[in-house]
Amino acid sequence: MSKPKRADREKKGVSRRDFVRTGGAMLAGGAALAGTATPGGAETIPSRAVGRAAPFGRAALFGYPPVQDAKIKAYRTLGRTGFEVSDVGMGSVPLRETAVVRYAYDKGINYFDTAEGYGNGAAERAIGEAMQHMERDKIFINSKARVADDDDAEAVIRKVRGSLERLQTDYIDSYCMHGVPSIEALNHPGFHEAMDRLKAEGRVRFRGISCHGAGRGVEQTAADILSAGAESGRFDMMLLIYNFMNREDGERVMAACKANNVGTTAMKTSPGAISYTPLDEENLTEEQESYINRYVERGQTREAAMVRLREQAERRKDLYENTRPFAEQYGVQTAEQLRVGSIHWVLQNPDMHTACVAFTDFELIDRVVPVSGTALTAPEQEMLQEIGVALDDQYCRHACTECADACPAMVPVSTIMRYAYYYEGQGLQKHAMSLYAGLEGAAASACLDCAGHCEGACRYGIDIQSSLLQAHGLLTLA
Amino acid sequence: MVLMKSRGIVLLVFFSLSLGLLSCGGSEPGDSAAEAPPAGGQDFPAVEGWTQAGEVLIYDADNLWEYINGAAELFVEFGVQTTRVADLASGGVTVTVDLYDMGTPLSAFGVYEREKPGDDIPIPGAMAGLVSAPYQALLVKGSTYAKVNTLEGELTDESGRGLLEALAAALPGGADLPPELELLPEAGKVAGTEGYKPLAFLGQSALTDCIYAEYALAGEDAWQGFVVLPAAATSVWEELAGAWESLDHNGATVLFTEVPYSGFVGIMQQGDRVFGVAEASDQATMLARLEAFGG
Repeated sequence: MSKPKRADREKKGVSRRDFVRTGGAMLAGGAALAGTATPGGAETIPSRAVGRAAPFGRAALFGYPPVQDAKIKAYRTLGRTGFEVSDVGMGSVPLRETAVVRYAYDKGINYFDTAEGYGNGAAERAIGEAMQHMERDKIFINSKARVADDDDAEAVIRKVRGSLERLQTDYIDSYCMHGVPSIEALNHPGFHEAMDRLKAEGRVRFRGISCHGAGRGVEQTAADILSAGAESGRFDMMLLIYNFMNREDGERVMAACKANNVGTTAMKTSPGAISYTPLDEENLTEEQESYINRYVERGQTREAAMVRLREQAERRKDLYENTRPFAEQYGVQTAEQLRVGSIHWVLQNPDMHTACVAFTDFELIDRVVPVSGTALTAPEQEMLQEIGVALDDQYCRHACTECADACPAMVPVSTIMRYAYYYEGQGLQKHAMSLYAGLEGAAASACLDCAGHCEGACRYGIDIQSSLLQAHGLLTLA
Repeated sequence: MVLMKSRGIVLLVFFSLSLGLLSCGGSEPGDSAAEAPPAGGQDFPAVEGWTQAGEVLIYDADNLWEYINGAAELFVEFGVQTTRVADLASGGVTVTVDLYDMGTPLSAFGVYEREKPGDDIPIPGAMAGLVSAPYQALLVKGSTYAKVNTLEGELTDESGRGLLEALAAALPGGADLPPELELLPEAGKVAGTEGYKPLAFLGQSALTDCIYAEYALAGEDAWQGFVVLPAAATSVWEELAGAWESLDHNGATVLFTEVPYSGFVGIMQQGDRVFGVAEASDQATMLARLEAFGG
């Protein structure tokens, strides 16, 4: 495991112009900075007490070392449950060590998220083994299970009883319908009947939902489903995706929760990737070749395997591309920095009551707990806002195709700008030019004698034609 | 998102670490709005006595969450390569069979040990298996970890065992335990307690690639002994040398730390071999166990 490293950029007093010209980690922009530097607006929480030196040293932003005597500093009310939960909660997959649960508890973490499906019940068992070392009424346990369409109340109650046994507790604070696939499923009769009965018995105190996305064929989004859940009045808390890549949907759900006094808990707080290896089908890496071979050994064709490998590469590329703006803003260079930085970003929003973090070792707890209750410093916020203003109108959002209809030649704007990034940002000049050449008739050469129908088509204010022409020049060496 | 080149801005950031999913906290099972993976055609073994119903779904490490979501993180940690999912039907019972290709028998064994809720039963042709009637049955063979969940009807101990035997016959790979487990000393080892953890053994982020087992020497409480896989031994030792305390013991260096609530953990190096013991109440006990274990 690598140790935290400090970057050598500790520039102070950087002007706006300098931000733009310095390049590299000084570059920023993107949806996360469209107007404000931090999520959720202002909150009256103290500036970070963790010792750091340079206000503009952005590697220092998340590069501070683990602090073993740190404690949770902020607790927030989990909606109508009334429970004061730590702003940093504990997710439980892939939980291995019961001692890690105890350690988290001793640091002041009092929210534990688990599910019957995590490790096939192993996560619940690990929490259960720690239960004897924790004061039951001082912690909040949320568990959950997937509820099939035809599950009746008895089936749901069986799941809950299994969780109670594994958790070694008489009651579960909240129990969620896990992965709700549609708005209609919010009214699952078996789940609600089971919860009514279990609440009457004192086995479950509150009910909730979690959602990652709609089921296949359902024309709804996770935000639609969760917002409807919040407005239904039937649920007391929910688990939702919230991170720098999913800001707008998350905040929509949180607004609905706030209006209805529903507790909010975050998952996937740091879903990023900090590198990506483009697929070169003529020169596969050892890992990629192994991937192909595994398919071939199972009787599949190499071509079919290559299709899957290509799809896999695309997914990884998307993940990386979506991470990049955040990493650039914060000068993030390591996976560890990305992880802690992403979590810290989530903690800035007071409407997110607790951010569940999958603590697998003591050191990660020692790294994350110190950011509890801390705000980004004023210079950092100022810097981020400055960058956002400077670059917001220069940033082509990946996979955004809102301007597509404006172009009579159907030039694939986002694709071309991605190729430009390969050329510039990744140093893959040949690869980028090759990809661009493959566009043939769809290339930006169509912009050369165009009247500029795309003017004003970008809601972020990007000068599309000018940008495409620059990319064209770059990718053709024209 | 893509950065425009306008105003002379040039993107220069190069990140050096490998791609990784860093998701935190819980997440969702089951259906997803994401596009379904393409059908796998014939990419699922024929299981005698059972008929395949519907398509085969295939997932990689980076989209397994679309199928089992939060639970996927455990499989990713153990190195899952691909996952094939199909429904099988027989005699009024329909089951969903997940075939996790874990890359190596050791990883398959490790995740099986992590997920199994009870004791093994002997399954001919397989490394291990168990039936949790009426809902679930698990099996590990070669690099494959198979998880069976009932969809319609119920499994009995007998029908579950029959299905596992048929699955074992259909899956490739050997039935022997992973050869890496032979690195664990036999003296005092409690049979059936072997396991493998690729990351954060004992909650120590630097302690990776460990195989372990319970040991009970005469007159002692049980404790854990472990061996770092040879490929990782040097890097683990070097990492811990900068993080743990050290002492000299009979001319050899012992690295040690006190793990919260668990007592002392110590490791020694012999050539390219790194081994250790845990759960010692004090340093003397730790050293005695190290000597007994491998010193």
